[in-house]
Amino acid sequence: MNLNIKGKQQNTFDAIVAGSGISGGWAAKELTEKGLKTLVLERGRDVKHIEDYPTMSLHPWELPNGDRIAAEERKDYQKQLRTGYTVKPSTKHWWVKDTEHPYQEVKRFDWMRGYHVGGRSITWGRQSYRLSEMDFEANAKDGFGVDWPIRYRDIAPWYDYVESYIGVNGQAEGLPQLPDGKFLPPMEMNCVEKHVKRKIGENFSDRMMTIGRSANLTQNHNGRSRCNYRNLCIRGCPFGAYFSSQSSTLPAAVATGNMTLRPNSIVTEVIYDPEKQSASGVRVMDAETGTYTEFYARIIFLNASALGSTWILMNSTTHFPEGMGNSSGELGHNLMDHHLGVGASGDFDGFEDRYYYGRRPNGIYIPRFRNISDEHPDFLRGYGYQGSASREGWKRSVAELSFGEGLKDELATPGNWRMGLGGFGECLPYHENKVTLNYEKLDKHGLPTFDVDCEFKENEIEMRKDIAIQAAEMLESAGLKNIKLRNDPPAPGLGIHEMGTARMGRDPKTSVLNKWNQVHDVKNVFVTDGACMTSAACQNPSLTYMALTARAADFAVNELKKGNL
Amino acid sequence: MNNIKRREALKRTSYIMGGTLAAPTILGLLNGCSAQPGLKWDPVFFTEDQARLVTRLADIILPKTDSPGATELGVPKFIEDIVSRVMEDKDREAFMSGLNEFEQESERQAGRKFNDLDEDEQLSFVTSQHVLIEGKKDLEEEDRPFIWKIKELIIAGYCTTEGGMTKILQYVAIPTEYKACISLEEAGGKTWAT
Repeated sequence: MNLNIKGKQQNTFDAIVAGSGISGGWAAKELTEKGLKTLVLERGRDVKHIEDYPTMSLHPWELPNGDRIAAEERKDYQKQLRTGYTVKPSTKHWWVKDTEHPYQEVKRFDWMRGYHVGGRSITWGRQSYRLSEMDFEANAKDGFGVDWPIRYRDIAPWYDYVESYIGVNGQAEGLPQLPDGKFLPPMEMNCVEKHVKRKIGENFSDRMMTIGRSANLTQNHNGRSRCNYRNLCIRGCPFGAYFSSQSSTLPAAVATGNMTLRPNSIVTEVIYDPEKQSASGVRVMDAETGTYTEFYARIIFLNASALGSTWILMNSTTHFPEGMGNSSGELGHNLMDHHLGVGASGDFDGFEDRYYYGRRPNGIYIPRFRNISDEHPDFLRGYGYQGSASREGWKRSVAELSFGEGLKDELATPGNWRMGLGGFGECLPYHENKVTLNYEKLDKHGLPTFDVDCEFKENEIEMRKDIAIQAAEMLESAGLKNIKLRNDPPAPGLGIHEMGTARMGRDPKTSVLNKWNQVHDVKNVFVTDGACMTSAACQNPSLTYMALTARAADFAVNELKKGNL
Repeated sequence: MNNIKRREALKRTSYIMGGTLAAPTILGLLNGCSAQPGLKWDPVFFTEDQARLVTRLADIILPKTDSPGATELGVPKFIEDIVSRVMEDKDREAFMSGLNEFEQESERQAGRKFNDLDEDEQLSFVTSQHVLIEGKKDLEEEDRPFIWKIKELIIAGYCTTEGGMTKILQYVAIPTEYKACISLEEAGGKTWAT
């Protein structure tokens, strides 16, 4: 009896955070800095900053087969391979094996993820844009989904707060649809990008091009080193020059002395106390031994990724047969992703005597211009573009004229300038785009898996036609030639921006979370990752998850102090 | 510059082709000095003949000049690794059947297997094959002949070796800064390896 009490005390914290990625790291930092003894549970292995980035400093010739993965090994990654850029000898350790962590596709859905401390904060694209007032009003205005329970003014100070801490470079532009942030100095556009920017400004009164806003440090910041322009971020950065949990938030949490980080800890269920009508802790499976342990805390933050946190709530069936927080029936529904793989590219004649030095880990951005002051006849909402210009390298030479000594000269001479623009389009929230638990098909731990039933619909497909055409028109107006349009068959997932499966809302009957990211039905459980998103907007979403997490953590600790939780 | 070299190569080629095809007996005489380089690795997937052919092609496409050639940089072994370990079955089968067709075409055009031709004959045969892909950037993958595939692999292998990246191209592991719009000369004058 005594032993049990002691054991329970040892396993009791002020707060538990499930997940250590972009939002989990922020929850850990905020809760520990506010004095809470916090247990951070990560389902995957430990990854220590720098120490555990095995490929970060390898030269290309030190990677096997020119950084191509062997066919035999590819068998384990049949879905993760769909990005085309992630499962390589230099980066494959950041992605799950599909053979170990299967899911079923009712329709094609590319669920790209890695299980390790830091999660996708290590591999993310670092593009960091604010949502605007227009985005928070969008659902209320056109009636798709439910109204966001917050507006821009509610989150704006928290954007300031997280940007100031992580370091986001960018150029202030004063656009209402893409609010400026607390920026570090912007990166520079190359010659052709500057030219195209000027031409877009001259030829399109409703559009502009700006340099990308990215979470790479353009100057030393908060004890972290500035970018060294290797553009190998995805391998992990020896300079800590881009935001990841390892480089930024977890060290802050460690410094408080209040964090316990526990890797290989799969949260399988939130434990509910029916007497207190609140959550008392979580049930955790050890990923290596399969044994279960319970941990207890007064508040629980779910930051296991949109689908990961949704899985935990759905699997918390002891007192909620339909899943915790699911009295609305919306848990697992309204799955969104940005649609991409659509745009245009072309060749630019000129600037043959100009080039660049260094590898900029960032591109250009063309903010949304559709459905702002006028209404597009074919679709709602809008899209932005990301892209870049560069000179062609040695890959162009296969079909060229020479071989022998002449080929060497050709390889050594930089090729034509080319520029591409790729759209990131908003996806509407559709109730029928959903995940459900499958108890027949289990993962390597014997846990239920997801059936994913999600598709882009007419609004997205109509929008894509416009994305490709407008990209081509902008490039053409800037004098580019041989313009090629691209519009891949759209399937959700490849944006790697899963969102919406435990959405925030004003009404507990139609949403899972309230305006503070609290589960309506269980107030001491917070979900602040992509699951909470009420609409997708068209901006890369991670910055918003960080801001919402810091905001919810502040609220949670205040409520704890007031005795309300 | 490149065009001049190419024209010269073509002129030379047509001369050689005319000569050799018209005089099969001379071919026999030349057999004794056919170009059979020693292999720099022990092939585990290619036969020795196939390995020799790939090696010879690597040296024709990217020969040793005042900078290293493809063979001394290990490109033939790279190609064997890609074909045997990286390619999907169907791509491997397509590559190997392309290699066989290349051999058959050599026998049809020049009367002997590629490995048994002398250096000039090999050069002229490669030139006749290379014409099939020149300027054809938009050739669909399934329409690409063997010469495309092998040239692609030779270039890819070469340009991801240390020698290729640092001696033909230019490579800086840690640039430390970004200069967005500078003169080609200030940027080092050569194609960036990465």
